[in-house]
Amino acid sequence: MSAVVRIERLALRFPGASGPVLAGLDLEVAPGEFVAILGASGVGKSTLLRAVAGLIAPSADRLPVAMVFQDARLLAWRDAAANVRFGLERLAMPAAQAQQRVDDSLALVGLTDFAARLPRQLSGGQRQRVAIARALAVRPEVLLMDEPFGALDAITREAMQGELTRIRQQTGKTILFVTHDIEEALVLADRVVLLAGQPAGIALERRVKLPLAHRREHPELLALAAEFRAVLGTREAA
Amino acid sequence: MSELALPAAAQPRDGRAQPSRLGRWGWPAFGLALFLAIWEAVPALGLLPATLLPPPSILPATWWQEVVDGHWLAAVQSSLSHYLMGLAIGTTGGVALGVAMALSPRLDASLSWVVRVLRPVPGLAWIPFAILWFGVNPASAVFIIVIGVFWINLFTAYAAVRAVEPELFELADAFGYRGRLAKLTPVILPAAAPGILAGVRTGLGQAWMAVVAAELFGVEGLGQRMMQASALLATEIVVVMMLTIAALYGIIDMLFVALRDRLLRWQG
Repeated sequence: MSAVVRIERLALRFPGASGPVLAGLDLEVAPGEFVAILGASGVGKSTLLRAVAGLIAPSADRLPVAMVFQDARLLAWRDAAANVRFGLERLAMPAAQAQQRVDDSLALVGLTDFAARLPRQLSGGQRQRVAIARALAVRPEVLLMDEPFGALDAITREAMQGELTRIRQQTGKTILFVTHDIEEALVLADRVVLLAGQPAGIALERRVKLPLAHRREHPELLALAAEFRAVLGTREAA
Repeated sequence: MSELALPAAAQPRDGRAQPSRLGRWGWPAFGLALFLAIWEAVPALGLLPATLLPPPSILPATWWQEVVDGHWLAAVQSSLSHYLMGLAIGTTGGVALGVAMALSPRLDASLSWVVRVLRPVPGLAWIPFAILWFGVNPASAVFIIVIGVFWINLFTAYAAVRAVEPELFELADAFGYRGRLAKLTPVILPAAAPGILAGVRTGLGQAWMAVVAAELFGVEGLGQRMMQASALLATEIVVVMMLTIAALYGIIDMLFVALRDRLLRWQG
């Protein structure tokens, strides 16, 4: 099956920086695959995601993608439904069709009853679910998620991980997910890619074959986590 | 360590104690009454002649006489029309240019010295040119008011747009709103609205100051009536016109605040 995301020898350098952030990175993501990009802070994970989104170094063939940021980044003056509609307004879609998409997306994240709430009236987890609904509403080929649960407390974070697994099973979306949390990456993804070094490259890549429902605390998952931790520790020390 | 339990009503929510009913209404009423009493007493005790400081007790009758004579309504109508026209043009122009300069570094750089040169020139300094260009008529009064509100709106709109979080620009980019114009209505203007509206509100007061200045040189309105009255030492009419301006400003500001609160109710 052909890849939906194909990155070949990606090199990125910020203006004024002494060296490149990423150099010669290759990555392919298959349709329906969930790939987690793991790495320490500042290694270039978010930069990679922004490059895929075309926000930096825009590519000639821009993919139909949608992004979920670490901070939900909801528009404070719009209610939840209007936030979900944000990406659709640019698409010149008939109003009834757009409304149907908004309703479906809010239902998918379990927020139908919160459609008229303003962002300040929602909890952190609910705001992030609205952000996911906003991204799903534009029916992207790839969902890009930049540490989407990084700002949430531990309990909400675990609940949101469960929500994302359910949403993914329902929609079959291709997901590129950035995190610095090894357990989160292993619990959610089909494949985990560790970025490390300067410039960053792929230091370790593992496929997780365990059933999604039984991953937490599974000995095989704990062993994989230990392997990632060891490589990360070695590379950071170097 | 023991804890002190405060009664709910006394608990400060923003670090300050909540005022009681006496604090909210009683003290302001007392202060106003004391002010009026002193004002009334000064001419009554002969400390100042009533022509220099007309006592407040004669103002209602003076106002009614001005209404009956038709001066008051004519002056209010003229001043309001100058005010609203000048305010609309000055606010729209100031906000539009402020937003454009904030979004376009080229325009910002091109106009930076023009703004530096023109900004410190007070509105009153334009009166000779207003008369030369438009004559002694409403257009020149409107021009002075436009100058009076233009700059405050330009600077607040500029600052408000510059303060929009870069993350919102990135969000708009991520959802396909490429380019500054595409982001203007869905993101930039709503995000900058609190700052822009604060400038508009400041302009509401600035514009009344400009109204009086613009009418002092002969254009019909409250300013002109004040000049006529002061020339005749009818200072009670001057005070009535002053209080009229204060009342009109108060009403317009109140209506604006209600509109602003409605527009910004998302802020909570």
